[in-house]
Amino acid sequence: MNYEQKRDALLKKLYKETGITFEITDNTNDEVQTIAKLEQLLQHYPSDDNRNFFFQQFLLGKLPKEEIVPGLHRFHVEKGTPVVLFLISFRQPYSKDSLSILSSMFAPDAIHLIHMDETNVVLIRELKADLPEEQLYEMVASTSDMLGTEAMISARIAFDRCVCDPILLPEIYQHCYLALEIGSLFFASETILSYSRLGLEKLIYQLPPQACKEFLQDHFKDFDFKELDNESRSTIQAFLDNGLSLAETSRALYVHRNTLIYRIDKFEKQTGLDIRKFDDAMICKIGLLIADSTS
Amino acid sequence: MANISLKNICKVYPNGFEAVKDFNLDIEDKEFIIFVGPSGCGKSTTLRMIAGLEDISSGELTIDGKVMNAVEPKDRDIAMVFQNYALYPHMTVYDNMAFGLKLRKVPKDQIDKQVREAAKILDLEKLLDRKPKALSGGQRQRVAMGRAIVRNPKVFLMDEPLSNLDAKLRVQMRIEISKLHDRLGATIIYVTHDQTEAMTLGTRIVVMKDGVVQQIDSPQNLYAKPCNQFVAGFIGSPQMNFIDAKIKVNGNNVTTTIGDKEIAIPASKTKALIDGGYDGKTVVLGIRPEDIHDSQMFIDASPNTVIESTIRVYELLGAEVFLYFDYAGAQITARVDPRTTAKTGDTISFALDMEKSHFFEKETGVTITN
Repeated sequence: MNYEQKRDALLKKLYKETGITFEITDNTNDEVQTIAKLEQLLQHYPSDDNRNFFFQQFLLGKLPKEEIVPGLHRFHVEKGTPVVLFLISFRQPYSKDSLSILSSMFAPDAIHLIHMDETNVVLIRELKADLPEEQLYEMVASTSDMLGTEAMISARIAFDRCVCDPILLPEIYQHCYLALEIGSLFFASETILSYSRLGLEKLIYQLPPQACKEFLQDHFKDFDFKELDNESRSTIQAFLDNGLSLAETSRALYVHRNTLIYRIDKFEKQTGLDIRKFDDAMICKIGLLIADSTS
Repeated sequence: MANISLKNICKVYPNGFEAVKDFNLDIEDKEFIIFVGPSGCGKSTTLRMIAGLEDISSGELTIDGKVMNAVEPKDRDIAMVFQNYALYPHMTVYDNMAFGLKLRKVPKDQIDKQVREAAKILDLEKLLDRKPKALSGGQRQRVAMGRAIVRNPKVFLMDEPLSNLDAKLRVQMRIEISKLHDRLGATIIYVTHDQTEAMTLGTRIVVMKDGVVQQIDSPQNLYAKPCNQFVAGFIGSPQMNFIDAKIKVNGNNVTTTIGDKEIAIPASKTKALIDGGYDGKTVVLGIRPEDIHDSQMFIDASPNTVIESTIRVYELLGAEVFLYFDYAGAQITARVDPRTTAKTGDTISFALDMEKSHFFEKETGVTITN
C-alpha cells in the first residue's frame, strides 16, 4: 500500500470512528510522520467507549432528547436506512471470540456491537431493504448457529421488526428485552425469540397476578396443572396445537384416535372441561399458560 | 475417537419444564447414533447437553471415561454442525474453514494443513478461493461440514444438518454424510425428526418422545419389533395402521374381531395374548401398509384374514401404489403393487398378513406382541 492509499484509509477510519472529517493542511511533516500521527489519533481516540456509551444510554432511554439525533448522525446511523436490532444474551460472560464471530458474519461497516453488560450484547445491523419476519428469523438462526459452530457458544437471541427510523431503536430494544423475559417463562428451550411471535404468552405475561389467580380459581377450582402427567399434558397441548382436530392430533402423536378420545375424556373428568368445544379449549389454553407463568 | 456415556441425564429448565428425563445411553467409538422424535421430544436438548451448550440438571456425562458435566464446551473436543449452515459472506471457502482454528490460536502452517486435508475429504479443493455466494447449496453445506472436520474432534454432533436443503439435495447429502462417517471413522451423534434419515444413516437409533427415551435399537429392530405404539407409528412411512381389535381366546386358538370380521391370530403371537389375560379385551392391532395385500394370490392363500372396503384415494408413486380406505373406524393405508387394477371408488378385498401384525395395549400403547 503506498502513502496515499494508507493515508486515505486512515482518514476514512478516523471519520468512521469519530464522525469528524479530517484534513491534512500541515505540509511540514513527512509521509512517515503523517501516517504515524494519524495512527496515534486513532489509537488515542476512545471511540469504542464513546460509541458504546452513547448507544447503551440511547437504548436504555437515558439520553437527553437533544443528544440523540446528533449522536446517531455522528455514528452514521441515518434515518431512512432499514436497521434491525438483535439482543444477544450469552449463557456465560461473553468473550472476544463471540464478538469476532459476530463482526465477521456481517459487513463490518454495517453493524454496531454494543456491550450492555457482561452477558448481553446488542447487534444493530443496517440492511439494504426492509426484511419480513421470516427472513429476519433465518438471519438470527444463522447467527445463533454460527456462535455454536465456531466457538461452542450458547446464546439466546431476541429480535423484533426492522425500523427505518433509528429513533425507534430503544422501543425495539425494550421489545427484545421483554421477549427474553417471556421466553424464559414460556419458551424455556427456545434460543431464538421473535417479539411478534410471542402471541398469547405476551398477553398473559402482562396480566396482573391477581387476575390470573382468580381465573384459575374460577375455572379450575381444586385442579392443579402440576397434577397432569406428561402424557396428558402433551396430548392436550397437541390437540390445541392441531386446531382441535382428532384426526390431526392422533397423527401427530402417533396414537389411535380412540386413545386420544380416552385421554381427552380423562381430562374432562379431572377439570370439567371438554376441550373438543372451542370455549373450553380456550379456557384450558389460558389456564395452561397461567400455570406455566406462575410455576 | 471416543466412547460417550450418558447416565440418568435430566434437563429441567428454571420454569419447571422437564425437557429430558432419565436419559441413559452408552455410545461406542465410531458409532453413528441417531436421536429421532417429533419436535419438542428433547433430542436437540440432549445433544446440546453433550456439547455443553445447555447445563445438565442431573446425571453424568462422560467422554472416554472423563466426567464432562463441568467442562467448558470448547474444551470437550467436540464439533457441532447445525441446520443453518451460515458462512462468512466476505471470506473465501478457505478462510471460512480456517476461522475457527484462528480463534483457537492454532499455528498458521497447521491451519493450512488441516484445511487442505478437510477440503480433500469433502472434495472442496478447487473451491477454496471462492466466496460463499459463488457456491451451490450442497457445496455450502460441505463447507459447513468442513469447519467441523478441520478441528479433528473426538465427536461430531449434528443437529438436523440437512433440514434447510431441498428434498433432492437432502438425499445427496445423506449419502455424503454416510461416506464421511466411513472415511473419518468418527463417532457421530445426529439429530433429526425425519425417520427416513434416521433409518438410512444410523447404526443405532434412539427414539424419543416427551423427553423420554422410548427405544434404543438398530433400524431393523425398530421397524420389526417396536416396543410401543408410538415407535411403531413413528418409524415407517406411510405409518403403521392401527385398528381397535377385540381378542377372543378359545383354548390355544386366539382370534380377533375387527369391525365385523373375525380373524385368526397366528400361533406365534397367541402366547402373549393368552398369558397377558387379554381374552375379551380390546387391544390395538398394528399392521404396516406393505402387509395389507390386494393380490388375488394372497387373498386365496389367506382367506381367514380378508377384509373388504371401498377405496377412498388411489395414489400412484411409480414403483408402488398407496390405497387409502376406511375400516372399523380407522383410516387404513395399503402399499400395493403398481399393477393393481384397483381404482378410487372400487370396493375390493384385502388380505392382512397376520404373521407380521403387532398388538398393543389400548391404554398404555405398550407392545403385547410383535
